[in-house]
Amino acid sequence: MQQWNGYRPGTGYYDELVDGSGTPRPGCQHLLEYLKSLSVQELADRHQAADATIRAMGITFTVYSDGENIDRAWPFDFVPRIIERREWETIQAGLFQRLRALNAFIDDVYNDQRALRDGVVPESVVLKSRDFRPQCQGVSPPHGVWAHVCGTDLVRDKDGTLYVLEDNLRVPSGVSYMLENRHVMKRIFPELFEHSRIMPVDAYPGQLLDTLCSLAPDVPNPEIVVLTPGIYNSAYFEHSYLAQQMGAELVEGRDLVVGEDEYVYMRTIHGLERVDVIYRRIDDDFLDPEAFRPDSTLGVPGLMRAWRKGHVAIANAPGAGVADDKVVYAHVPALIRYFLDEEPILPNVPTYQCVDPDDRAYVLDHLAELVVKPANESGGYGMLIGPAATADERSQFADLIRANPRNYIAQPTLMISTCPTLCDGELEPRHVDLRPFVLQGKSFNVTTGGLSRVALRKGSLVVNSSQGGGSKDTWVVDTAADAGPGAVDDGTVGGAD
Amino acid sequence: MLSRLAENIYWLARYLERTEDTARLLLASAQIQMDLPSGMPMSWHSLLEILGASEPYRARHGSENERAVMRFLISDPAYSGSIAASVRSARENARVTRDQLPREAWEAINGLHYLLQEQAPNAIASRWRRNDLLAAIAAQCQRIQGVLHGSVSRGPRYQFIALGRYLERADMTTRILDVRYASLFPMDGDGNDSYYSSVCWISVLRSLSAYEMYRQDLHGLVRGRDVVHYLLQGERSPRAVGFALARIRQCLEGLPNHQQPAARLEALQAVLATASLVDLSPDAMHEFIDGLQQGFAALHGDVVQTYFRFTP
Repeated sequence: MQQWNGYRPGTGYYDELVDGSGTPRPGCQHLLEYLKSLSVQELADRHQAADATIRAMGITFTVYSDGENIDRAWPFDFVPRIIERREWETIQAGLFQRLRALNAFIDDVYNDQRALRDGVVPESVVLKSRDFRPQCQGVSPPHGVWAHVCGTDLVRDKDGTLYVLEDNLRVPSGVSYMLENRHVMKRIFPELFEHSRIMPVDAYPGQLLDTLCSLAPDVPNPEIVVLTPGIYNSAYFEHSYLAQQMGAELVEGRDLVVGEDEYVYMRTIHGLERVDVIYRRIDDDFLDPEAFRPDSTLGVPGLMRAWRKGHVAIANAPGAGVADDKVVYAHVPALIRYFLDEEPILPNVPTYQCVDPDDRAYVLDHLAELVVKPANESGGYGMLIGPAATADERSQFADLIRANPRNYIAQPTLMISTCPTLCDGELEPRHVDLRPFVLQGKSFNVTTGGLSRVALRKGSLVVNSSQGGGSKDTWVVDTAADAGPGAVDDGTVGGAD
Repeated sequence: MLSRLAENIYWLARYLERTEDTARLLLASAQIQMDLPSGMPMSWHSLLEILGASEPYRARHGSENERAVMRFLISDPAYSGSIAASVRSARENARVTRDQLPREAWEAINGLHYLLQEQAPNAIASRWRRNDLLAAIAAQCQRIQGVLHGSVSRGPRYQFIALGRYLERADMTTRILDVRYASLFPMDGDGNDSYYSSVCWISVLRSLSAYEMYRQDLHGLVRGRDVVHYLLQGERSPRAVGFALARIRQCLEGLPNHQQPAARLEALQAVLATASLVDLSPDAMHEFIDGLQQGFAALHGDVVQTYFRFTP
């Protein structure tokens, strides 16, 4: 008995691979045929092989609360999430548009503050933001770009519309897992890659390197480094992975020193060597104890002086997180119109800002239907999920909102889409989101697809890996290319070899 | 290359070498144990002595019995010289340098870690399981060395790996000779004892996986004085101190600013080459080896000062 035949998407949700009647969506037919051809035993074998591969490849992530075990195997589900290329092209254009507007905004915040004066975003919201850095005022980074790497979270609602859930502009992570998921899939299901036009993802490290090189001061062979807080950081695997893939040095703060000439150097076996571009993966607060937290031991004293002089480029630039704020998020469509004079391609989730009296009144009246989020948290902490909360929790949250309205936004509860996922030997619908990575330097790139995260617990909407979520390989499939001779979507090729 | 990474890679190589050497030593000792009448001087205690583990062992255990000694040397996580602790340190150093190493190397080191984790708990008590495990550990170390040798590009990265490996190896070879010479040399004559003495010296060669090659290079009864010459001054066996020092010299020549450590090395090589080691008393041999080991420690200190800990 094949479990796949019993797969039905949950009612009321959009399933990424099949429609309500169980018919494959465009680009998904071949995968579904293939999965159907596998027996329960074969599914289990592949599942086991995937786990063994991940362990052997040492693909790990760190959970802070996990004591000695600083590297857990990366949780991976082998049923991929599929997006058609035509849809992807729209998404890609929308992401680029968004990042251009965000970068124009950040540059404006630290220089002319035109958008603030014109009231596009309330001045108080920006200047009082936790991530606004007065230390960055008056700086003009190369190409006017501050956020060079952006991880934008997308979710699909029940009618199939993709919404932008949030932009991560500080130190977004996950891209290495996107790349590794593909490696694992190729090892476990080589057959699948013969027949489908799955667009490759491997270009990313090269594009990242190009982006970073384009920021370097005018030197022939710029020295690029990745700055990590060290092996106990939850994303250390990614830091070292990216450094390796780019052929860049992976450095810690203690490896760097700012000279009397205000250039940055690293300590090597040859002595001191100059550093031109730093891809930093540590928070602003810890970058430079002279400029930010004096107790930071992770950073480099004097780094901000070197950066302000243009002696070293930092990606993402210090201060870029000012646009990470969820209140700024609510204004991104307005920023796109203001800075680019274009209509937004990708919609925001409708967002109520508790700082606004009318919105606040609405939110307080409708807490049972809304998700309330603090403006500056990540990792899914400090949220209220209205429909799942008790009356007591809602009233506590109402007090929090009244006490500090600036710190909260609210959004309708989305019916986030699902994807078939192997759970206890059977395929069941589980909720997924998607984080593509967008690069902007001299030029612009978007990953082909992104990191799909999946909530492994039944009914759960929380996809963060630190809270028990898993991940999937994400395929952008070119169905137009499949329409030619030897097409596979006509059902003639399905099945195992 | 970053100083911090150079240091990590150097230690990675030392821990790997220590793991392999210890596994081989224990394996060879278990083999010889089966051949010898009881009371012969290849006891469990001498293993602790060779590995410098007598003090820490006594602090934690009472009597020396096979199982307790083996557990201590193989799997005790609290004893920093155990195989388990060396593998853990090797893996930690590999983890922080994995962006510097071929992926296959990390996977192989990881494999060693899992091998030990999965098999050590059940392997200590039973001799045959334990021997299997020790052989598998040595084989996995060889695999890792093979990957490093076969795929790390020749530059500072490789030089620091080799530097760590050969310094550790020279140290281990002298430790084994030090302890074995003290107990075996008095029997190394032509009397009744000489048969067993020869068997024991063969075991010494085996613990350095040098026996078959020794046979190819020298003929006749295996005698202490020949083995000592072969393993100290010889430059043919990869486990010989002379060979290791020659390799260290090549490594240093490939690294910048090597004047200080290179001068130290030359002095050591000169001492070794000109030493007359024939029929030394155990005390004199001990003194000579002690001098060599102090030289290795000073050389290590020079490497640390020159490449890892300089102040700008």
